[in-house]
Amino acid sequence: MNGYAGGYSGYGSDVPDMVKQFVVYFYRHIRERNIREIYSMYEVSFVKLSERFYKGTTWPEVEVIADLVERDHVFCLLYKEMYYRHLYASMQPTLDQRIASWENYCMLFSIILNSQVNMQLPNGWLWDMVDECIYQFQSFQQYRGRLSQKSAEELTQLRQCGRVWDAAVLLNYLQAFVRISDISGVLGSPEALENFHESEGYEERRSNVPRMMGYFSLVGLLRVHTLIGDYHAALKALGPIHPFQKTKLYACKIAGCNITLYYHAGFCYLMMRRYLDASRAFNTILTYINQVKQYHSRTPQYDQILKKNEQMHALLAMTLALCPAAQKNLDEVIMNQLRDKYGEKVTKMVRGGGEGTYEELFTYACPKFITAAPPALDAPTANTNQEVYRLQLRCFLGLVHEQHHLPALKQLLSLYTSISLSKLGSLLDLDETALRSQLMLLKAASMCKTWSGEGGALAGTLQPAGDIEFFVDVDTRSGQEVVHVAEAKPVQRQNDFLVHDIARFDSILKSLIASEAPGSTPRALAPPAGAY
Amino acid sequence: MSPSTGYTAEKLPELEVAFEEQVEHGTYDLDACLTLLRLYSFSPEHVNINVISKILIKAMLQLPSPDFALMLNMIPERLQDEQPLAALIALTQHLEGARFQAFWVAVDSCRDIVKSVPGFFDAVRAYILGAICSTCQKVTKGTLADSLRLDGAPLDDLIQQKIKTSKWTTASSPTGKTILVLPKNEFNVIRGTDSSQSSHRGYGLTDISGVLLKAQS
Repeated sequence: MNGYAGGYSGYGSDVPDMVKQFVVYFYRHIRERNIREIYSMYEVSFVKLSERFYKGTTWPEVEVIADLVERDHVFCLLYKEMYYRHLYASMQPTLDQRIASWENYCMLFSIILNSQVNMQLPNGWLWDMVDECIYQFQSFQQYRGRLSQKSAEELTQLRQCGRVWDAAVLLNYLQAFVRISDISGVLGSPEALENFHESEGYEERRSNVPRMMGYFSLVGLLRVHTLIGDYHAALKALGPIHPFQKTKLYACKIAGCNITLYYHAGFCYLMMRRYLDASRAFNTILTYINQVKQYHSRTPQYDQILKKNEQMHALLAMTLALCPAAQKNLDEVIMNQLRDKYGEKVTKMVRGGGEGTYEELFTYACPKFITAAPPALDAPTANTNQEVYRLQLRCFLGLVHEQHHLPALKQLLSLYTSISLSKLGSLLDLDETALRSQLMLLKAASMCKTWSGEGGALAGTLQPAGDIEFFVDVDTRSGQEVVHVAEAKPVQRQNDFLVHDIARFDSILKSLIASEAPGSTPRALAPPAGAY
Repeated sequence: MSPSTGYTAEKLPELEVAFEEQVEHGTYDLDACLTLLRLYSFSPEHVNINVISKILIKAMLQLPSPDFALMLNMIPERLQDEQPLAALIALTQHLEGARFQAFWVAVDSCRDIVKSVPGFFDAVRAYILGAICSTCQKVTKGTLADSLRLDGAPLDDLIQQKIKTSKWTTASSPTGKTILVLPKNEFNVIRGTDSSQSSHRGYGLTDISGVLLKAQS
């Protein structure tokens, strides 16, 4: 396993004592199922030691430390999981290292799937495994797609590496975790669910690993399917978890998992034109981020959280531009944040003709799509990485373009309570046939499949979601076609503006007072919510 | 070592046969269709463009559900630019944009393809009728004829049937044109101003005074 390049001979003696101790104790705590200690070593000590001894380089090879841990097979796999995660975070992995990390995940997953493991591992780590494995999968596809930069040797190696980081194999692993964990059964029975929430998967006599891997794999499946542009299957894969049914959400205990869940679910809803559900999902998670982000300001994930936060504001901006009625799902705070960040862009998109803005925001905020099929290795000039992204963008802009006349139509309609089709047509410079089409298109755009409280993430009923109400009638006396209109009244928001500004004034005042009395207000740092 | 498979190309022939049965029996299974497209995207060497075109026709007939659009997200651009897929995409764009006359013109040039799925024309007309019924309370017989491309006896039969089963009635204009009065539904009425009672969880004035008091303290 560890025969690849590196030349670490004699490295063992260079391992600092602190690191040796870390490995020894880490192994002992894992053997003793001491979950608190494992958690703290994983979450705190590992990060600190990495920072101190292995910045920009790798941890010691597993061979070097194996004797310290009685060459325990499973521990060595776990060690390598962390080893490669650190490697990916600090340097550009080579093809050999990518392959070795994949093989390590395969071995680890097979053990969890096929043998009765009895270890307890922190749920946060298990989520990190699913998350990291998908990240490395994504990274491999990007790497493989850049064929033009490969040496002949690398191409030969790529040809030989078969199903390494293969999308189908990865999906099968995730599905297998869902199956063996019986997570659907647990979330489906009120009794088991209560027990699950209480124990968080940590039970006296059994391992938490298979069950929690099943839970996190549901979110993992959502993500992988989203990455290949299969939005229906993505939401379907969530199975028993529903973003709007809080009782079944364990995800909120782990910020990364929760954000992954809502970001991808929200994106899927947006692509499926379910704008009300999209805005609801983004509202939920943006509110959550506002609440928890202070606890993560010193963790390695902080930058990621902030980035996703910004991306989801961009997605929300597009959602509102396509469906202004989706605003009704937003809380004040989120609405104000959005106005501050994207007010101008939303106006631009809503006015129509803002296709450039849509493209800019989509490109900024979409997931890093991957091309699941291997590239044609014999035509090494091609770069397949952008294919799926370009396809998603094309489909999305196609929809935007289809609707680009609607803002002008809506604006004009809102000036009338009734107007004849012929007059409306002359104002818009459209013949009656084209105008009828636009009216029917506007009507279709004002309906939106929306979750109505029952069923899975895909379930829903067609609900009105327009900001203008109208119908076409024929006047039986004149024989003329007439459009009858009523504008859906916008929500009164003056008080929101006032409260927003008062609160801002309040916080300025507070910070002024605080700066006058230095050191008087030490900010209490609460421990991360639901750390494990 | 590898767990049992649900995503591998070996399943393709079996799935293709099952899909042909959907076509034959007039059934539709979105999940099965998407699975086929996913497997094609995993192993492009197995792509069967005839199957894809039939899948797309089935999806077109699900409008206004966005199945067709969802599938396009999984079909590579170079295939989308190939015939007959390009023609099917144009047809669907006409339907979604409610450009029904343009649809009927375009369909003339790909009759052979769409006929590969039995029941195509009935399903398309049902969709067009649905779009009209959710937008209009009344419609002239002429507009209906143009949108559905039906006239004479078939159109009259359809209207008679709708009068019987769907509460349509007829009226006539001063110039003698027939006007069809369509039943009201959730979408072709103005629902009043109930949208102003939004589900919004906003602050009220009392909250402002609270904030003001806090600011003073």
